[in-house]
Amino acid sequence: MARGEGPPTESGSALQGRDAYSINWRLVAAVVLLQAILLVVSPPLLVFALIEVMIFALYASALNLLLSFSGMVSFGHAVYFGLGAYGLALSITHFDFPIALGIVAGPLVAAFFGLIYGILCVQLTAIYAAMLTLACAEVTYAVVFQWFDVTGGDSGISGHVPTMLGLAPYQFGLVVLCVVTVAILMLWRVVYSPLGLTIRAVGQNPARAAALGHGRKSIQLIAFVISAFFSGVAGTLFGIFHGNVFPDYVGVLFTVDGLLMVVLGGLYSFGAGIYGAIIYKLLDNLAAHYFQYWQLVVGVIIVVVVLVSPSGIAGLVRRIVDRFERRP
Amino acid sequence: MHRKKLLQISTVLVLAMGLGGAAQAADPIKIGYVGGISGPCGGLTHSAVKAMKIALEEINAAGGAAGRQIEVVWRDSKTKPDEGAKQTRDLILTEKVDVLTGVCSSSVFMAINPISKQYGVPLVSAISGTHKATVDFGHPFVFQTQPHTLMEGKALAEYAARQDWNNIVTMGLDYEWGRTTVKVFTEELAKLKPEVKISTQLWPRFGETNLTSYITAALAEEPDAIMGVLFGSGTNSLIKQGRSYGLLERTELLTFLSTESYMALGKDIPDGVHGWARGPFYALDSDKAKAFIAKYREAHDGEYPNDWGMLAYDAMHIIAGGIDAAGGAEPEKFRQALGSTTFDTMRGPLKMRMIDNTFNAPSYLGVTMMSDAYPFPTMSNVTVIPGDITLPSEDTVKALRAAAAK
Repeated sequence: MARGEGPPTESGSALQGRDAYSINWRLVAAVVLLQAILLVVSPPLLVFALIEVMIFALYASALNLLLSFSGMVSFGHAVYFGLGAYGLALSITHFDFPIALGIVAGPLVAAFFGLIYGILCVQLTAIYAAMLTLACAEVTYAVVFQWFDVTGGDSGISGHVPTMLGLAPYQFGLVVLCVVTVAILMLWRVVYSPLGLTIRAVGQNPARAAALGHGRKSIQLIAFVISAFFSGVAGTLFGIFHGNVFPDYVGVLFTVDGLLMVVLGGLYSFGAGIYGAIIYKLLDNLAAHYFQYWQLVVGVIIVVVVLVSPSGIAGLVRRIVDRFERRP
Repeated sequence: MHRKKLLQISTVLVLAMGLGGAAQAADPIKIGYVGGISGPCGGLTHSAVKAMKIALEEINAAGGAAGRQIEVVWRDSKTKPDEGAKQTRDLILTEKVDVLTGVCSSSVFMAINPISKQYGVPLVSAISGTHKATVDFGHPFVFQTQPHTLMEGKALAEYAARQDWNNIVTMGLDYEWGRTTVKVFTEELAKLKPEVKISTQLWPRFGETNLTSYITAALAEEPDAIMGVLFGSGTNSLIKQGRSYGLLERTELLTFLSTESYMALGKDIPDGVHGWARGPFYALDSDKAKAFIAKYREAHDGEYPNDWGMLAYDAMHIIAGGIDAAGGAEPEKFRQALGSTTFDTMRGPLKMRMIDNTFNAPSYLGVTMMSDAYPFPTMSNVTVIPGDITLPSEDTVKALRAAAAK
């Protein structure tokens, strides 16, 4: 089975030799350099689109840790994304944190709630756990929306941090590029570390993993908190990007966006979040400029991808690469 | 010979510059519209867009503003703040719009407000109710042409103080709009008529449709009136479910009832409910309003404009009037023009004050009544509470800004 087609199995590529999963620094450097050049030379509007792509690539990659590797489905992952932004805003407005400390607080608040909600959600499995993630999301949204003395209600919180930290768009883009690159590399390390192997084992076959001494609940909880933390990093960046935060950031539409990106990118592949975010967010930013019903385009693309390549863009890319590699 | 040639070249250059200048003067002024054409605001905004298009036709047919035609670039915020921000940046950076308008939800207004500030592009909110953008986080280039939450809370207090009500129960949806309106209402009523008792305050959850427990709790206080800060399905539920408890026989009800609520609920709204509105077409009898309503109905199969349509039509004319008075869309001149001009709108003469760029827009309150004039109930005996008495004091504005800046 090629990578990216169905859940990784012991006989499949997921557990291949260690070298297959070591970081290709040349590739990373090339991508980062290309992205940095694009940020510097592009007009502001494209820079904004690229910043969004990077932030959502991290968010979708964090969600992908759960979906593709830990065997969990989250129907409320925007909570951790939004709480990153709210953590930043509230720590500054209500606790007088300096901005730098607020930026640290955002992901930690997301991880904290990831821990609390995670403890609840890992008690159940399959669709029941997914429903519990949805319930936690609804509770969070209701609190954020209604507790307006603290959260600002539907007007959100503004003015706590200068938009893009007062930097020029390309400068802020370079900051985001650094943070997102480090965060995604860390996620890669997690997935392909011994801990990641355990997470994948639990995701594939919890009973067999338990027989080996790896309790499903504790391992899934660790994955949940890590995913919440990195979603919080993305949310914090998004909060700085716009200079404000609103209940929509913890709402169902942001969750759906994340799920669509992962499915589009290709479940069971590490790059799902990245591929998905690139396609989804570029369509969102650019196609919408020319075509009012761009979501129709996304819908058609998803249908085509699912029919032609159920393993998403990642699987398609992999198959194309494999085909070229097999040629004499 | 040499001198003659120089003169010829100079003449050609001057003519070219003149023609270039004329071409520039003929370039249209671009207005960027960002509004919730789809999403939760879609039901309200459709009338606003239709009304703005009518206003645009009128303005351009009359020669435009400052001698230039006006062109509007329409963008859908989908009622999402991040989408609104994205569209606004696009309008400013790609379309190079001179003025922004539209906006429906508070979150979208708050999301695009800092972008207007950052790029110094005037933003004229036509139909968003939050006061935070112009008051708490106001800047020189954000404007509001409708009464905001602080003004409406005060208008409600003015109206309630004129009634024979001494015991009131408030019932506000448990979110920002409900809480803020009730807070301002109770504070202002205490100043106007201290003897009025607010016997209890109830807070139904946002989206709650089963209000029976709130109705019984309210009626248990035997109030003279219930002041319900509800809308749409909330108002519908309160009225329908209240019937079983004889709510309207046992007490008076004051609640938000804009035109689309009357059109949607029809005869479900009984006579005798006290309603408040922002731009009720049926209560405006100026020639300007009559002409617009006729034009709107003719263009849209007899449909009546809702409150948002009325507000949006006025907003577009105010923008054009401001550009005209300023001789263009240069932001500071535009602001000064808005502040020094009295605009003849469908809601009467409106003027903006400079401290928070807010117009003295009136609020409309009355009692529902089914008549033969319309296929749905409307308000009769409409009381107009002028914006001059509902605008927050300058000290309040300064205090809110100081708190927001902390």
